[in-house]
Amino acid sequence: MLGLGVDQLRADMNRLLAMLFHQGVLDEQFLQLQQLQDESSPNFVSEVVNIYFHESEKLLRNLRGLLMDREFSDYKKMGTHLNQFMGSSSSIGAKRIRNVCVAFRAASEHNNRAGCLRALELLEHEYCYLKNKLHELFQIQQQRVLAAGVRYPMQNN
Amino acid sequence: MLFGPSINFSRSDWEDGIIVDLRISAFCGLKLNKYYKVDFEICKREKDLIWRERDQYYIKREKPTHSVTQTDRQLSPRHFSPPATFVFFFSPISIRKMARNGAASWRRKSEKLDLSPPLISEEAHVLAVDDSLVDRKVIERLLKISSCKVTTVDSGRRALQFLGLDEEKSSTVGFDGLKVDLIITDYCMPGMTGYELLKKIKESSTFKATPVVIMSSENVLARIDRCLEEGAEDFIVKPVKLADVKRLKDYMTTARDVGVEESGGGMNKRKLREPCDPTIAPSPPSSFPSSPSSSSSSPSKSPSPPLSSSFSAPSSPTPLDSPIRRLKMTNAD
Repeated sequence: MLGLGVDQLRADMNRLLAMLFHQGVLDEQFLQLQQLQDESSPNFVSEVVNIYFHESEKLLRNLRGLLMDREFSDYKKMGTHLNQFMGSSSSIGAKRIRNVCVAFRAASEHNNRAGCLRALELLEHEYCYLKNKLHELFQIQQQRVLAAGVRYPMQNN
Repeated sequence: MLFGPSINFSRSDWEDGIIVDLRISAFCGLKLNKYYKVDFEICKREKDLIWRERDQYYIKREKPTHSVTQTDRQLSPRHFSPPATFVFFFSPISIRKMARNGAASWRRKSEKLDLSPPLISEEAHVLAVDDSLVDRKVIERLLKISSCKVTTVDSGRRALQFLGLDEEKSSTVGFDGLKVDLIITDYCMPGMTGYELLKKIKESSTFKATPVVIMSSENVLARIDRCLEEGAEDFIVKPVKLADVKRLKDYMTTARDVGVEESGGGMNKRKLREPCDPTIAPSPPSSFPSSPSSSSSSPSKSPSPPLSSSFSAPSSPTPLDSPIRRLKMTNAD
């Protein structure tokens, strides 16, 4: 029974990852991160992703704060935030988020406030989706670790 | 950092050969060098790294390629002097000097055979500069997994302080002990950009020979050219991958390499002056087990010193493999 649990979880995880890749939410850089995870650094991916979430939420708040300001005019500052967001998103393989950032930046370079607002909303939406999916992924991984830990001595992993 | 690593010279019998262990304590990492006893003629012919101890010669090998005589096997550790322990200040240069004067009788032959102490191939030390914490974590992991020591800082200013190049505040740790083999920096940073940092490094007398690599998420040819003109070794487009980091290892100064280097210290000096010159093209990376075809009993000048194999050196970069060219090629899309 427990053995089936591990296999089931692994299948779930793979299915989720495959879906995210297929949707273009994640790209190969995420795989690269997974390759960097091993026994000496077993939580590397979740650590980096959590740092990313923490930073991204700050950046998103800053962006929204800037745009909500009626007297907003500091597109340069917005560009700086965007570059940061773009950079960290590409470093973890968050492809769709990065693409929205590109469009956002184009709008900001044209001082197109309405365009920026639209882009920001899309960005927040994409970010929420990614965060939920990655949390789901990490949960499955954790369950896998737990399930694999409880097993009969004869079973092979 | 008052106490550095300790080096133990200890020897033990091991099957067909004598292992000489050079251990540097956990502070620096562990490395085992294996030496097989041979007679002198073989040493001269093979021109491999040789250690001489009390008229016995040992050749550094992964596996013995010659048959070992019966008398060889009879040697036991008690024929040799007892292990010695040294404590050094953490400085690769002082380690080398002390080892040379150490308990074992390292002897440098006047011929081209290098008998300098086979030091631990120390890990390269990379200074990574990036204002993004996510990127710092990733580059740190990439470098560590590629067997490098890593120091990360979040700004150009901090980098200069670390290197002791900041006019106002110099590093509290003397840089003599903290050799930096490569500096990798992000281009877009608030305050001092990677480009400005590159300029400051190249203007300094102490670090201008250190290879500097620029990273950027923007693939802008003008930016790349500007950096290369200023002396950057390479330009990596983010996101950085393991393959990029593996390529970087070629650039790192090899002053601490264990050498099958024909002219020991001379090779290192040359490397320092020209940190990465693909045209020097060290021909075959030290082919340890196989003897060089051009071997002769008289020491001959080899055309170019082979690279040590401490990083399992890849073959010298071909023009097509040159990252710069590859970058330019992709830009031509």
